[in-house]
Amino acid sequence: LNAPPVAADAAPYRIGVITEAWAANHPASEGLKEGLRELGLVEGRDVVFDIHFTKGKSEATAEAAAALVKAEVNLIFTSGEAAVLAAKKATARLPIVFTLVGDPVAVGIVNTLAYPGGNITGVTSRVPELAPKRLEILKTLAPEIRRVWFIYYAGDVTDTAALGNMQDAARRLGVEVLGRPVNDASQLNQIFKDFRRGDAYLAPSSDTLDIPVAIHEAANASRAPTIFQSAIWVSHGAVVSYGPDFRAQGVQAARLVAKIIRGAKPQDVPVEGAEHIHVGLNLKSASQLGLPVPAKLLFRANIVQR
Amino acid sequence: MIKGSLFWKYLVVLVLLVGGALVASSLAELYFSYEEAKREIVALEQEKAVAAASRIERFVRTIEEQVRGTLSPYPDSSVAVSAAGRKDGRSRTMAAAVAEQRELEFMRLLRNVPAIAELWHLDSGGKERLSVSRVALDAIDSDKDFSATPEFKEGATGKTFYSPVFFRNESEPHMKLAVAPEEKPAEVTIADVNLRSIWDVVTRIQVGRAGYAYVVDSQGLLIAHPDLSLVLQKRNLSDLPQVRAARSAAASEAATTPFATVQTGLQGGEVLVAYAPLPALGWIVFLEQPLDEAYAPLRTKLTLGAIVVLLGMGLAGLASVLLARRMVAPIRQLQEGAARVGRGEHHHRIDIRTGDELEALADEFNRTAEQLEDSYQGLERKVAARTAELTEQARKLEAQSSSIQTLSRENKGIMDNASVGIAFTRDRKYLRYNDSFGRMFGFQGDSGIGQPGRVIYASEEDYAEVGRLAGPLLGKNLPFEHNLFLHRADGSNFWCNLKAFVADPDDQAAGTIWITEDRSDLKAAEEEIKESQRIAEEASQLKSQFLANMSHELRTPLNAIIGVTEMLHEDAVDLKREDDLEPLERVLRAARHLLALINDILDLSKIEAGKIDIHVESFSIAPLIDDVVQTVGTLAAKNGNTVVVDCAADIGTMRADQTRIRQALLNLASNANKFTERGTVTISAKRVTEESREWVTMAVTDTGIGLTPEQMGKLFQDFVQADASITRKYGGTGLGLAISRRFCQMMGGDITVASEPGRGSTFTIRLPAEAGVAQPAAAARDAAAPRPSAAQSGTATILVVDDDQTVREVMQRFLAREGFSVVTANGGHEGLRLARALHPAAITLDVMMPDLDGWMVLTAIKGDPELADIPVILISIVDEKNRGYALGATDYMTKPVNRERLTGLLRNICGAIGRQVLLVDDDDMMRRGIRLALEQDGWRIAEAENGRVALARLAETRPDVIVLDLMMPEMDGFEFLDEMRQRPEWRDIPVLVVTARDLTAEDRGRLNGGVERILQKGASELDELLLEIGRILPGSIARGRSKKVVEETG
Repeated sequence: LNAPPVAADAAPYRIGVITEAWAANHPASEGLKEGLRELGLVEGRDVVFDIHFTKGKSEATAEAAAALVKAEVNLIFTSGEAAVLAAKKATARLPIVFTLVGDPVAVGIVNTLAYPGGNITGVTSRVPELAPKRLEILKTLAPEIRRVWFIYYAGDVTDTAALGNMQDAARRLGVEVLGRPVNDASQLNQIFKDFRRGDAYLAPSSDTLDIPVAIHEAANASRAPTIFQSAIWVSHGAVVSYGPDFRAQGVQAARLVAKIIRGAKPQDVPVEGAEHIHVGLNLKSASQLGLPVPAKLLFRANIVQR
Repeated sequence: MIKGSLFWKYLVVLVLLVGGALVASSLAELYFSYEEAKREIVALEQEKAVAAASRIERFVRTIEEQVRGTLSPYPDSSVAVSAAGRKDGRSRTMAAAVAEQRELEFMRLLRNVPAIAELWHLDSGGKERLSVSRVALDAIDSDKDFSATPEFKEGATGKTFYSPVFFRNESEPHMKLAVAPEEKPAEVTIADVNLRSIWDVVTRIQVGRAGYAYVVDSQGLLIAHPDLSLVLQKRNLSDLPQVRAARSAAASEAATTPFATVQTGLQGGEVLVAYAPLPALGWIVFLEQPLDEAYAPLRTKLTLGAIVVLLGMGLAGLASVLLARRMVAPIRQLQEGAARVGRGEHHHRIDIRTGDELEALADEFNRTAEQLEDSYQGLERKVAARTAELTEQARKLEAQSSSIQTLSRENKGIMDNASVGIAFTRDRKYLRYNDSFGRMFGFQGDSGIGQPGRVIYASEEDYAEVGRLAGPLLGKNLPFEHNLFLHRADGSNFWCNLKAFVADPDDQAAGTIWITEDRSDLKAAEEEIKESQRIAEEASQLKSQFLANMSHELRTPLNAIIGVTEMLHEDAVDLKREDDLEPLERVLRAARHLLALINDILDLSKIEAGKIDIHVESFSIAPLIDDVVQTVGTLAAKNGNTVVVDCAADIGTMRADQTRIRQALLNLASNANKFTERGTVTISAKRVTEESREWVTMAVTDTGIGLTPEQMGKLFQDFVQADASITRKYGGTGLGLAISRRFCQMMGGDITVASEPGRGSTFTIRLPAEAGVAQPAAAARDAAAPRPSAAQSGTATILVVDDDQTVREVMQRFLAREGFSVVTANGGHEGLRLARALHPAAITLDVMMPDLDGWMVLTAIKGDPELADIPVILISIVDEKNRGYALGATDYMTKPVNRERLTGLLRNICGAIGRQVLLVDDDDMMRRGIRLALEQDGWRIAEAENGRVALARLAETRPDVIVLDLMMPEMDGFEFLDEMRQRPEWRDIPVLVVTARDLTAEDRGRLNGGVERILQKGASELDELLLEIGRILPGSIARGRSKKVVEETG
């Protein structure tokens, strides 16, 4: 277990990467590289990467996974639910380390967090677990809101679970969560029509049907407070976000990858919850929305756009 | 070995000293460095454990410090506080401001410290005033009651409280940490800390290749381990010996003292365990490393140490060799120098420049040698002076005796009237002689007196020869006689008989009386005999020549006749001229018969003339029989006979003349087939032992016409066939059987016949398996009878009789070198006389001598019962063996003499003559065996059952050789040899060691010198051993003798 880094004369350990990102430099992938580097595994010498990004097409992940299995990589690293599901389907033999999976147990990727089983382990982004807290932060920033729209892809178990998790908190916070599962992007415009002043959006975790993009655009149009799950959106003008940092998840997952490289079996490595849960704030957007930012949110914020 | 022993002693001492010291110091150093390295390894392990513990502690402490930072009272300088104050109104109490400030601080903590999952603030009553979380909803003044929790109870004491580790989501280790300000009643702040980073700390601790670290909390629960599954099993390790030991140590005051121990590891196997406690948390960090790996450097160190010691030993050994050599070299030089001076090189000096006692010793030795040299020279001077005195006295005495001589003038009258010459010499000068002597040699009156003895001899050589021959005889008071040409003053030589005897047997120095007799007449007669002998030999040669010519002259035309007739016969057959066939066949038959007759006559005449040589060689018998059977096959088939062979395949070999035996056997087989029709011819060969000698018989049995007793009587006569009529019927010359029989006789065998008319015949060839030549071998046997007179002299005397001076000289020189004592005679008469006088051990006799030839001498010797047993070896240019053997010669050799053969022959003859062996062995059987074997060869045996008895026997009689066993009771062979070598008179007796003992190098060292040969008892069969002893003994004696000669002369 405590074996030194891969011997210098051995061939580099080959890591295949599957993400739905639009480019190879997805923060989680970059975080993986950084984390491995911190652990003494140098790219090119100890590890090499074969990165497959599907440019948002979740169906293309299966193809990528098959290609990686065929290429006989030593390990598959995934970002996003579709990617890990595709990898899991493609191989029961190669170790798989996932990131950006909201609830791996609910999705059926692992048995339990402590004993994942199979050939898979990873870092969960704790989507359902953090859903109430997300609602609380939205309410802290915009205390006037009464209704929160949660529009999500109907087939997404994680977001479905998140919705369930929010109900109790909603009552305590005095807001109504309007859960709207959709099967088709065309349904979105109909839903947006029901949006009224004083309402807010809570973006789903899943990118399916590009719902977050649609919400972002709708929110901008109607000047609606919206909370996203990742700080990426804050840099794109969203006012607030609460959720694990993608890059930090990559770094955290690198520890699991390193353990496997050094001989651990994935099924023996417990799934870790994301460590770095960041609050993202866009002060400019907040002022445009006429929302004063409370001090305690400001103190809490990890990423602040001015 | 003796010379080398000092070197070895030094070497052993040096190696022991240097090597011993080296080994001792190396072992000590190795031991200490081993212990040191072990301590180092343990210390290193402990350091790692302490380092890990301090990292974990630092992690917890940092969080603790940061949580403590949120404790009140808060400074009012905070920007956030004033900002909040402005916004939410002035009515706020200080407490509210503090609460708000605390909330902000808590937020900051959540932002800055990812490990903190949740924070609570409790009032002094244990009620929740504030809680913030990453997951749960924040709460303010919820009044949730924490008063019963250990966090509150312990935290309120002012000391930091650490809860036991618990797991969230089954997989995330957490711990609660409670802190409170010093004042009471205290408000307690609690933090929920995610401990996963401790896992990373622990996982990253490198403990060799297979070692690992783990952490146990205050409950004995495993909270961190590289194998997380072990942690997640929530194993309680309280019962592990190392955990128990560490916890009990931690509980006592020695809590901070780290230790290391060997235990069974968490995952089995022997491990080196080190640990370091975290006293504040009650946790203990353990480091375990498999013992094999932990102590690997130790093993390397040990191996290296061992190699260094070995190298050191090697160098020490080398140095010791060099040093020992240096030390011994001057001592050897001393020894050598002493030996040289001891050998008489008094001028030799030893040159040693070592600058120490050895050099001083060498100087001392040189001084002694100088003194020795001086005293030697003094001694020599004294001897010279004394000699001069003696000479003077002798001269005076001589003067006196000459005056006495003048008194005996009447004797002179008698002398002068004698017809023979009489002279008296002393000191090789003529003192007196009678008138006849003066006349004979042409001296005028007394002119010869005072002349040297040399003047009457024809040559210097003759004079020397007479001196050499006469010396030994006169020395023994024996008369001397010799025939030779003597010299007159006028220059002419004449044949003279010379006799000499000592004047006074009681006083050898008194002088010698010489009697000379002019035998010119005898010489002339001898010349005549020689001449007639020469003519006879010439005639014999002419006869041989005639035979050779005749064979050629007769066989050439005969071959032509046979050849042409065969041609004509073939033509007649081809042309079917029946009338011509019969006469031609008759011519052929007659011609072939004539040719066979001539060949046989030639053979027979050669045998008669002794011209046929027997070539003895070793050959296998069976192939010879086969060969004969093949040859007679045609003839047998022609007469319808069956040939049966009865010969054992393993009949082996014999030594004889193969060609002649084949000829004889073929003759018999041909005859058998010739005289048998439609019968059986059996050829059988056998090996039989008779008269303790091996014989080979070859018999040819036929079922033919057989022979009457009368016919058998004539059978072997020349030109006789059983019946004259047979010749006509069966052909043949009638010479074959006679010739075959002569051959067999020459080889020591014979041919016999048994037959009945009409019942067939059996002809048997009987030959010795080792056919030297029969009679001579028997003669040698006879001659081998002991001759005490010769044996007593210690060395055997050989009389060499030859008229050729060169031959005499050469023989004398090389026989003397071989250890024989040699006396020479220059002619037959001389030889005979010396033989009678000396009774030598053997005589070598030249055949062609002017005065009395070898044949006559041999006849005389063999005819004299006194001399008959002296073995005589005839040596001649002409090869007339048969005559020699017939006259009783032991052997016959042709000139030039094969020296080796002669020596071997003489050694056989002399060596066996009553030589004495002392047999020392405690084994009765062994002694008996050796005695029997040696006695057969004519040795006399004395026996001793141990060394002490052997010494007693030595004192009685001195043996010629000793056969010695080594392992004996009372006094063993080694001790015996030591004792024996103490006595100079025994030192040179050759010793043959016969032992069953496996000799070590040391044993051989002890035997070194004086031992001729070492025979191993177990190495061969007893018979072989005995044979070996018999073979070696004569040589041993010879070598012992020649060594002695060298010592005496050198």
